[in-house]
Amino acid sequence: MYPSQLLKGTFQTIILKLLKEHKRMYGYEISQMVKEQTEGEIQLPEGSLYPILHKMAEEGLVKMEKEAIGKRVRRYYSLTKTGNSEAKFKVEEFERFIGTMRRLLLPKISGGEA
Amino acid sequence: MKLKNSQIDFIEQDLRDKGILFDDLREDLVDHICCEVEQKMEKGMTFMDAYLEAVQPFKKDGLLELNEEATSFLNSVTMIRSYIKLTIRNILKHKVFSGINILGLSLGMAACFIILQYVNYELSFDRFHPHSTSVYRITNNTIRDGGESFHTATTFLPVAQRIKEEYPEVADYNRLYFLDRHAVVSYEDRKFEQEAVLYADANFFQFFSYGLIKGNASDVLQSVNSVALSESTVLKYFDNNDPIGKLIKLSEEFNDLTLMVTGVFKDPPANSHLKPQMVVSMSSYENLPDVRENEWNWPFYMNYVRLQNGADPVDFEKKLPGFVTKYIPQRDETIYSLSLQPLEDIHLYSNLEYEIEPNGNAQLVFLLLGVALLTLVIAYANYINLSTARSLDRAKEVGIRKALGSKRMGLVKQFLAEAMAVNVLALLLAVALVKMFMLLLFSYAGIAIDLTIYSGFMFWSGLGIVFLMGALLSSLYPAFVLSSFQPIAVLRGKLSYNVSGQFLRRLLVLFQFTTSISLMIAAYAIYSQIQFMRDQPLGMEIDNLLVVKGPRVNVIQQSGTTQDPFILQTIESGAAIQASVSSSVPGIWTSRISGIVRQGAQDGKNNAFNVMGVDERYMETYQIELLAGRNFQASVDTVAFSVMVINESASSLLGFSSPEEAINARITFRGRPIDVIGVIKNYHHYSLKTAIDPLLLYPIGDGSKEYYTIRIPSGTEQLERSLANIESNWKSVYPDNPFEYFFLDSSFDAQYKSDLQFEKIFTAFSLLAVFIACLGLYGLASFVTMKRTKEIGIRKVLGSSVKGIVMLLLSDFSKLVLIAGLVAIPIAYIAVDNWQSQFAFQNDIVWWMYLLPIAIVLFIAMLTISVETIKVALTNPVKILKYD
Repeated sequence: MYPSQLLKGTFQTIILKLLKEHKRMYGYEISQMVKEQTEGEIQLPEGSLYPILHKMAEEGLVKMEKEAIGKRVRRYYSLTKTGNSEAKFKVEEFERFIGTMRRLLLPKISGGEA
Repeated sequence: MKLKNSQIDFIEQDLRDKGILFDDLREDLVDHICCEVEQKMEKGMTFMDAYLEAVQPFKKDGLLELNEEATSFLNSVTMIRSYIKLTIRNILKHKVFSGINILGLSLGMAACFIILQYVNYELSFDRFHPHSTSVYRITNNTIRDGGESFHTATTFLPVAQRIKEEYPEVADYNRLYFLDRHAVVSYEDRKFEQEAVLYADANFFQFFSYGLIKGNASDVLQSVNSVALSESTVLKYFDNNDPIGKLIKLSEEFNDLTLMVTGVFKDPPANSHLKPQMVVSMSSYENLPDVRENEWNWPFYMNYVRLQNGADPVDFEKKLPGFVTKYIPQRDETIYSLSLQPLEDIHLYSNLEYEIEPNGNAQLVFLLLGVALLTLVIAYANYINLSTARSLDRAKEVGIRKALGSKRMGLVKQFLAEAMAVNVLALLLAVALVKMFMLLLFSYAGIAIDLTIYSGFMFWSGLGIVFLMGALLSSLYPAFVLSSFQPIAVLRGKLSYNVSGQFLRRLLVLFQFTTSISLMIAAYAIYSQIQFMRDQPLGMEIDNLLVVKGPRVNVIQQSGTTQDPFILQTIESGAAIQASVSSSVPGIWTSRISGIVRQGAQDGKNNAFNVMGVDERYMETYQIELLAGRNFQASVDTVAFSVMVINESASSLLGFSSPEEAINARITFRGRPIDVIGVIKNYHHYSLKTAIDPLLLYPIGDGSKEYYTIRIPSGTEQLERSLANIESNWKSVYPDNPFEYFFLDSSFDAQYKSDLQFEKIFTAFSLLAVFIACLGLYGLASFVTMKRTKEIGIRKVLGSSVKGIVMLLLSDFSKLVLIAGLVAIPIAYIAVDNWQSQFAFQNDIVWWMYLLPIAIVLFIAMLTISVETIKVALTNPVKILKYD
């Protein structure tokens, strides 16, 4: 498991990416999917997941639909149009970031080997 | 495995209890936790274990923080919406407390608003003139023969003019002659009675600002015989026709003028000491030979000056004695002095002779302001009391929230928001109350207010600031007390009712009741003093007396009083039982002179006497008792100052040991001999606010026939007939004079008008204060009773009677009220004594006048408390104790 400082900035990107792929998800589903796909390496803390979702809803990136399941209400989140482009932008940005990080870190490592 | 509905409900409720009040978030969490729990249960866990595990990750982050975090992401509109939702929920959950809080606060606020409007109105007088702060009225103080000073609002005609010529610091001046009675105005063939006529210097409309609609401010009163009329006067005379250039005829005491209308001005605002309806150019008046001759003899003119910017009125006033010496002609034994009076102070602070209208009273205005503020403070004290009392209820909530990680400031903010909401609701209710009751209250108290005046921005913003301050101060304390609770202490049940501000609460209750009992005592004392003054025998009979104001123009000259044709005709026609003419009537100022002594005596030259001219029917008409000597005789006593009838006070002031001794004694007025022919019993010429002054009556001459007093038969039918009869007699004897009359009993009573107004408002607000205090007491008592419900149940089981339990609960608060009563007595005594000292005739203070209000308040308080306590005391203890 990675330290949470490392992950903090990436949660929104992760959620956007998942929503872009799966179109319509509810909170628990998102947290389970992250856990599964990363084999438990990354866990979206429940305490952050919902605030982030609410914030994105407020910013108009995602929209929310309610669905009654028996006695309880399930809230499904999906990307809006702006959310879609934001997801694309965020993923690209993150890839650029990883590239930059790699350039920053790799030469040192290879230099050490040589 | 699917969760049962009851399990979902449990999760939902638990989250709610843990402070997840934000609905959107809670829905997410319920679903999330349900999913988690279902999974764990599929692996064989029990519901409870699964739930506790599932909720664990949230606990780590702090559920409440989650709530706050989620909330803080929302924009402010959503946030306010959720605050409103929370607040409404909280208000509805505690209906009684919220109701009492809001009602009490709004009553206090409404009371305060109404009084503020009144005070603001009283303070706004004469401030609408652009130079109002630099305008001063010159008043005149006259001391004759070293006697009493006679301070008039008026002085001699040339004063302001000469002052302007003499001193460069005077920028401008204006002089007025205000007719103190109706004039007769005729236009074409119609005649009108006209009040509020004044003569003014040409710059009147520049000096004061009485919005001129037609005409030019600089020249409207420039020429002789020009006149400006108010809008309503124009309407009265000319309907909708253009009045400019029309001729009207004005008849009054000194003058018979044909005037040309040159201007029209707006009806004067109510908040001015000067409300003219007709302004005539001074040049039409001041050049009359009579006026010119007497310009330094008649001190009847309002003189106003405007000082230059930066001129110091105090310094300037010091120059006035020099002015007096230089200009005012010296008279033997008479000293004049002039002083300045700020224009803005006239209405509230001036109470001189010859005022244009009876002025307000600053002391009473500020006293009422004090009462209103006290009412507001009582209301806020209620609020603080109830909020802190409820703190025990909310302590648990605070404890849990804190345990879950809430920060203190967050809680303070939330409590403040709740408090603000209550305050705002109260404010809205208060505004509605003001709208509903203000006019009612003002008309009940007989206060005429021009409602368009006080809606200024300053007033409302001032009010807003006061409200915000009050709301903030009253809500800060509860907010900080509530948020300061330590979670461990609270949750272990260590926080008992006793430590949570009980001392402060008792202090506030004590304050509320001390204040309201003091107010009640004062209100009752005021009531009984005024009632006392109105009920005392006056030494004369003023019922069924009609007073007709004497003629102003074309006075028929007749010699002696017997022949007065109006009196003769009126008596002959059967309209009157008796009738009399005099220079004054009870309740109206008489002249005052000094320099009267017993012949040969040296002392007493400075003693002042009221003096008035009466005819031989005066005593009979008023049913004043003659103690010794005789009444005037029409044919014998014809020379004004040769014989006199005096009253008891005058008799003893002159040094006679008995009325009989005074008869045929000789007194002198500045050396002139006068025979005392009779002594009458003292009667109250003025209200009982003043002592009975020494009074001298002399046979009336033609020049001073100011009032006819007519005793008419009682009964309404009789009255109407008499009135019609008297009016037709008047028209035939004084055809050019308006028939103006009033009833003496009501005009005499009108001397108490301002006192009655004061009494009514004071009483209303005292009752309100008591009511608000009781409202708070009710809330507090029902809270305490609720807290002690279990104790009551146990006591009953152990054999206490209902009576015993009620007594137990009552005694606590009754003690407070009694202590408040004890504290209130000396406060009220000092205040009442102080207030009463202005009256010459004082109602004796009887002990029960102090105890009665206390008893009443105690009774009301007991009643208030009993409502709740009896209910609880009667409850079957099984019901109370069953669930424990």
